[in-house]
Amino acid sequence: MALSSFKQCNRILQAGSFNKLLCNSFHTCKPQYFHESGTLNAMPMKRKVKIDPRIILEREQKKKKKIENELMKLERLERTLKPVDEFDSQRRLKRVASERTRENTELTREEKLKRFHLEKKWCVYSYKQYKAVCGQINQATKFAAEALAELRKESEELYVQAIQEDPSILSYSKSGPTETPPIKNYQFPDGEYNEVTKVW
Amino acid sequence: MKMSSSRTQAVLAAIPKLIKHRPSCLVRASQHRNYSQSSAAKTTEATAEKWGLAGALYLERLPVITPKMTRLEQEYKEYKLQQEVEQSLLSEYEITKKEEEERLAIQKKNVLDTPLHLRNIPIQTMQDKEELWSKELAQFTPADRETEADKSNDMRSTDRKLDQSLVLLLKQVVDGKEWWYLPTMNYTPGLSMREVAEQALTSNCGTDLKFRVFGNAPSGYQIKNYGREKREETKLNGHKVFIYKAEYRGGPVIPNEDNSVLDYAWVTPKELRQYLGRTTSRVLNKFIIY
Repeated sequence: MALSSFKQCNRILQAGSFNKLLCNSFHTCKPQYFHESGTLNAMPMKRKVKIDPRIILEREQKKKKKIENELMKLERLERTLKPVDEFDSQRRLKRVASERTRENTELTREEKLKRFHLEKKWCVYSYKQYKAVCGQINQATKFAAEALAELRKESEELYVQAIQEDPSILSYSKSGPTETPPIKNYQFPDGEYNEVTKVW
Repeated sequence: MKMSSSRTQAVLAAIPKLIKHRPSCLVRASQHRNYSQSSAAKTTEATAEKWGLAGALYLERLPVITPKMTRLEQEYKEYKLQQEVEQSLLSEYEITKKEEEERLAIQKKNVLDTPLHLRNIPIQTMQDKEELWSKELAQFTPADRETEADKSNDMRSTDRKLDQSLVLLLKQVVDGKEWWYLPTMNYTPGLSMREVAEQALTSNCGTDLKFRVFGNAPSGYQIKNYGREKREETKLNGHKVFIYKAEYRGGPVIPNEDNSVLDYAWVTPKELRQYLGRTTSRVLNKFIIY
C-alpha cells in the first residue's frame, strides 16, 4: 500500500524507538519502492536438522535389504513344487494333440468280448493271489509270536534278549529277481564316453 | 490238565476225518505245551516237563529270476501293452519316422528332378537307426534260465531252480540214525538264542558261508518229544528248537564231519516234505512265504 511521504513520516515518528537520524532525512526514491508488506500468516520455518550421513546410509541399506528379502522369498516360492492338482496339461501338447492321434482300427466284436473276459479272469486271479500272500504273512507273524511265547516259558533272560531291537535291519535293501540270471564272469563293455584328458 | 501223547492221539483219532479244521485247543494239546509254571508241585507225578533248548537256522537262497508266467498272466500282459499303445498319442520318434518316410517317397519320385550331386545322399533315417539297434541287441545273449545244475539235478548247488527259494538241509547222525534237518545246535548257556542259531550254521557248515539273520526273535519253533528210553536217560520230555530265518549271501557249504554232518542239500520248499517228513515240513510251511 503506497502511502504519501507525509503519512510515512508521521508513522515513523509515532513509533518512537526509531533512529532520529533516518527520520530527518527524506528519501529521494519513489514511495513505491518502500512499503510495508502485508501480514504474513505462516509459522516460522522448521529448523533444518543435519542428519548424520551414517544414519542416512543405514536407512538406505535397510530399504535395500527389505527388497532383497522379498526377492528371495519369491525365488523360494518358484523352487517349491506345484501341487499335482494344480497342474494343467502342457499347452504345447494341447495344441498339437489333434495332429498326433493314432489311427486305430476298430476292434472286432470277438476281440472286445475276449478282452472283457480276460479282465474278469484277471480280477479274480489277482484277488486270490493277494489273499494268499496276506494269509501267508499273517500266519508267519502269528507263528513268530507263538515262538516268542514259548521261549519266554523256558527262560525269561533269553526272551528279553530276543525282543531287543536289531538296528541293522534298517540298512537292509534288496533288488528284485530279474528275467534272466546274471552271466558268470561277464565282461562289461566300455560305455560311450567323452575324452576329457587335457592335452598340452 | 495235561494230556500224555497216547491219550491225545486217541482223541485225535476219534475225530471224524471229514472235519478239516481241527479245533485249536486240540492242536495245541498235540504239541505238548509246557504248562508247568508250578512244576515243582507236580514233579511227584509221572514225568517232570523239562525241555532241552536248541537253535536252528533256516538258511534261504532267495529266488534269482522271476517265476514263469502263467498263460493268463501272459495273455493279460500282451492285452495291456496293446491297449497302452492304442490309447496313446504318437511320440516324437514316430512322427519324425513318418515324416522321413514321406520325404524318402517324394525323393524317390523326383529322382530325375534332383541334380546328380544331390542324389543318393545317405540320410541316417530312423530305419537305419533301428537296424543298428537291433544288431547291437543281437550281439548280447542273456544267460539261460535253466542252468546245468537243473539238468543234472545237483542237489548241492545253489544254481538249481533259480525261480524258487532254496533251503539248506543237513544230513546228520543223531542217536545212531541218519536224518535230514536244518542246521541245529544245542543251547549253550551264555549265548542268546540267535547266536546259538548262527553258530549252528558256522560250526556245521564252515565259516566261509555268508548269511544274514533278520532280527533277534525266532521266526518259529518246533517241539520234539523223546521216546521213553531217551526220556529216562536225559530226564527231559523233549526239546524245543527255535528256528531263525536267514538270507544266504554266498560262500561254500563245507560239511563238518567232526559234528557228524554227512551231507547237505539245497531244497525247494515243495521238496521239503521228501526230506523232512510231514510234521516238520508243516511247521516250516507256517513261515515260508512263497
